[in-house]
Amino acid sequence: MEFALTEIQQMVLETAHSFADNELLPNAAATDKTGQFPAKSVKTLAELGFLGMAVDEKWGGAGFDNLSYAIAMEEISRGCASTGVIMSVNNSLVCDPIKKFGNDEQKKKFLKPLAQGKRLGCFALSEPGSGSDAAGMRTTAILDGDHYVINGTKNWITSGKEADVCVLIAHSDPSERHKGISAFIVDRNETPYGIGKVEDKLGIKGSSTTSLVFENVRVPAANRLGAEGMGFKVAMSTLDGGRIGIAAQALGIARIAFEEALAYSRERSAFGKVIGDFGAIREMLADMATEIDAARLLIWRAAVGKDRGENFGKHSAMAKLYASEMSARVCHKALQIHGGYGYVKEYNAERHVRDARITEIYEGTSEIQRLVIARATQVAFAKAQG
Amino acid sequence: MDFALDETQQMIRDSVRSFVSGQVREPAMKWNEGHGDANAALKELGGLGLLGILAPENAGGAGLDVATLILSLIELATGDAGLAAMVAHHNGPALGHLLDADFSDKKLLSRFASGDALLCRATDEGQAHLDSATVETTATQQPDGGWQVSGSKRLVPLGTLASHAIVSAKTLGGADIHLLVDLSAPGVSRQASASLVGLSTCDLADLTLSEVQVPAAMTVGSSSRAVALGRLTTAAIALGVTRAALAAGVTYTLERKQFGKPIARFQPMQWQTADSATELEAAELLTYRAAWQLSTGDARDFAVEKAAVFAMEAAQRVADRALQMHGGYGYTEDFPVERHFRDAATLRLLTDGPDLQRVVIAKGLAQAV
Repeated sequence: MEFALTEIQQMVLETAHSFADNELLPNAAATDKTGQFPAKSVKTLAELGFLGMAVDEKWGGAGFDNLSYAIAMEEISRGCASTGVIMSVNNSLVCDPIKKFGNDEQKKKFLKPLAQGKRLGCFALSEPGSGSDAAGMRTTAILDGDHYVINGTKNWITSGKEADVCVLIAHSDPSERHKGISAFIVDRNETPYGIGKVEDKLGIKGSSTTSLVFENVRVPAANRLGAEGMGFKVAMSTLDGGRIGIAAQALGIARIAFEEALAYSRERSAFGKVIGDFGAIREMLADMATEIDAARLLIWRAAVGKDRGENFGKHSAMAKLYASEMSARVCHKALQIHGGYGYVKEYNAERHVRDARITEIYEGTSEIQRLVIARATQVAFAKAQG
Repeated sequence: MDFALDETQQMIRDSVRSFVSGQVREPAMKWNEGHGDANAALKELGGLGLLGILAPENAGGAGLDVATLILSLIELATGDAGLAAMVAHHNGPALGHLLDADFSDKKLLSRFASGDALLCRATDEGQAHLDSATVETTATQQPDGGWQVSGSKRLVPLGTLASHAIVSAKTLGGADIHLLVDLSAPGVSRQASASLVGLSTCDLADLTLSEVQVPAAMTVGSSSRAVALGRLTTAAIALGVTRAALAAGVTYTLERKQFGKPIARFQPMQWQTADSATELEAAELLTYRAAWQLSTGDARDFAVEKAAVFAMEAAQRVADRALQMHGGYGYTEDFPVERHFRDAATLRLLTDGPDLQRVVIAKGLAQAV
């Protein structure tokens, strides 16, 4: 049992924290207002090695562990939630599956520039009619000679507008459900696909969310990621890791909401004293601080599990479930502490509420996390009973 | 960052676990119905070295760290929270105070550390709890340097079984003082406290001290660690109750059938299972972090208070869900879940309640701004 960070992890924390203080926090409100992709910040993330954090240096990554990744994700998202999700998707949903399931050719061609931040990735699983029920997808990838012909529409694709590499999950055998699914790397420059509707969202406005339209897009068979029929496994194992990133994003949003609310509670006076000295506000702040710590420990537990090659699916589901719902509670209280000022854009409290809300939905809704956790828990007790 | 237990911690945890399945879980049902008491089990725990966990080996103790104490208490509390509360009190706020304050009477210390004698710490009064300013017990210095103590304390864990109590008092000058009082001394009377809704196995007594003479050598220094240990050991008991309640609830849903299938297959049961398992995990991690801090130095950033608030309240939520999972059976004494529910509700009597812990956290947060 040891709860200390290594020197490298501490360095990652400090680097990410000061980048967030200096570059992200001052621009986060403008990014939210304009909905502009934070290109300059993403470029700095690339220079810091934060777009391929847990990828070997050999493949263009920074060679950090997953705990460092979780730490950096929290700090970056504290600075700007939009920048956080762009970072999370590139690391967890794009680099990670290519690192785990890709061959050396694919790593050289795609992982290296993605990890270096020379290219940006997106992950295409959900469709207009299928989300959590991934096997219900309609997009097909039919083998024709040495190409797969892709047809279908993918929805809710983070960074869809800017990304030029797409990890795509599609049915290579539409007669099967899970077993007929395969994963592909689609190079948008070589085999262009269409960008459909760009969503107008409640929050995380600086990251684009689009649909992707595939009409007879011919992808070289060499771009298939893993064996044919392994796509569902690729998708699920990718999401296990992605949940750590999103949990850390939720935590970062909660952190900044809490910090601002605490500072406000020490400035604002009512009835002759600062409101932070009233029991009601104190109680909220104490709970916020406690739940933030609880979420961080759950996230770190999952990240360390991943680093050690343990089966970390239940832990990442717990981290994602708890951190996202905690973030919603904390941001709600932070707004409340600001009173009327929390409801107007002069302060950031309302933005944090909007940004936090998505973390209960994407990369597995809270309902899916509860199913995962419940099943794992029930199986463990059933086994213990014999 | 390492969430795994080291070899010693694992070994101690496993031995307490097997003690609980062999000698606690079954009898606990009877103890809680008022048949027989847990004193024999307490003695046996002393034989295993579990009544001097933190005391150095040369002082007759086991020389283990706070994390190991916490792990042992979690296991014990899965079997009987009241028994765990007594072991927690002796090891943590009581003996932990003497150790922290470098108490000089090594002979007496080793009697406590070996479990030959039990020790309690008497702080609670009618009005005084966290607020030491309202302590009404007085200590008047005598010409020989000793003290004469008068006052009353309530709800003292191990109050009837202990040979000695660390008593908090005020001097005539208004200073806080702690004295180690021999509970067989003239002027001490003790009687069992009014019975509580839960933690029925735990020995609790109200003490009355009238002009009790305490030698100067029995003066004990102050200890902030004793307070931290009181809070954190309560978190550990909360965790044991939480684990037991979760196990009872989930196991029941796997067996109970309605509409042709185990109720574990219905989403409302799954939701409660997921929330309880997640909160248990979070409470454990907060508690382990605080235990690690106390094992390697002082606690930081209110890690102890955060663990205590979270674990105490999680225990109540988890026990409530587990009772609900049992339907009407949960309300009967045929299943242990009603006891977990009552124990969870009683934990706050062992230490500062969650509201006071929140004040401590919030004051610290304000200072850091």
